[in-house]
Amino acid sequence: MLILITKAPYGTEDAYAGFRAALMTSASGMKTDVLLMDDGVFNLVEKQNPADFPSNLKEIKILRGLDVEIYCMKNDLEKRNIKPPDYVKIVDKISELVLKNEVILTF
Amino acid sequence: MNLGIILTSGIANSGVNTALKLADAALKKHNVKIFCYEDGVAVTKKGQEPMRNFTNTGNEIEGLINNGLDIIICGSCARARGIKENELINRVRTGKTGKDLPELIDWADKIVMVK
Repeated sequence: MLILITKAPYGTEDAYAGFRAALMTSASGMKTDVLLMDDGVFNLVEKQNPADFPSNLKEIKILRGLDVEIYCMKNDLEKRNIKPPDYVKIVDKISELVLKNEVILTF
Repeated sequence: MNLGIILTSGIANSGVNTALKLADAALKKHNVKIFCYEDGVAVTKKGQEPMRNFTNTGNEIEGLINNGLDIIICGSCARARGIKENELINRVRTGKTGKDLPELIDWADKIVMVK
């Protein structure tokens, strides 16, 4: 199971809903990974302090406790000048992740 | 074949029409379940009165349920939008994301996500 998140946090519910879906599938025993691409990489910006939304960084922290790997597209990080935390696995292309997952949900 | 559709679009979004047309076509030969997530939960409200030229998705969903569609909504998404169980079209089921979403993915041979 791959949860592909392409939306930045907080402008819409999509990224949060993607992290929640990852939480549900991994908690039910499905091997789940998350790939952040396009504006989805903004979910990794440190020191997020949303006033009116739950923190997506907290969702990522919970997912890491469930052995969910967080992948991120290298180009998308560089374009947005974002330095990801050390736990993030940076990839050049998505083909390998797409091929190894039977189900991909995009948010 | 078992087809699972995850619908996140709300009313008046063409994604809803796509999902319902897909379900209608697939039901002729296959088993179909739709899981409504995020804004998708609103399409299951009864008593919809769309403006002219917009599809009445409520009526379409009723017809699809009569043809064998199983449609489940994310309970926490519905509560977040103030949608009560007694406001739903008959036989729409209120589910739990933690249980029903993984079950749908397990059940389905194919999953299509419609936004």
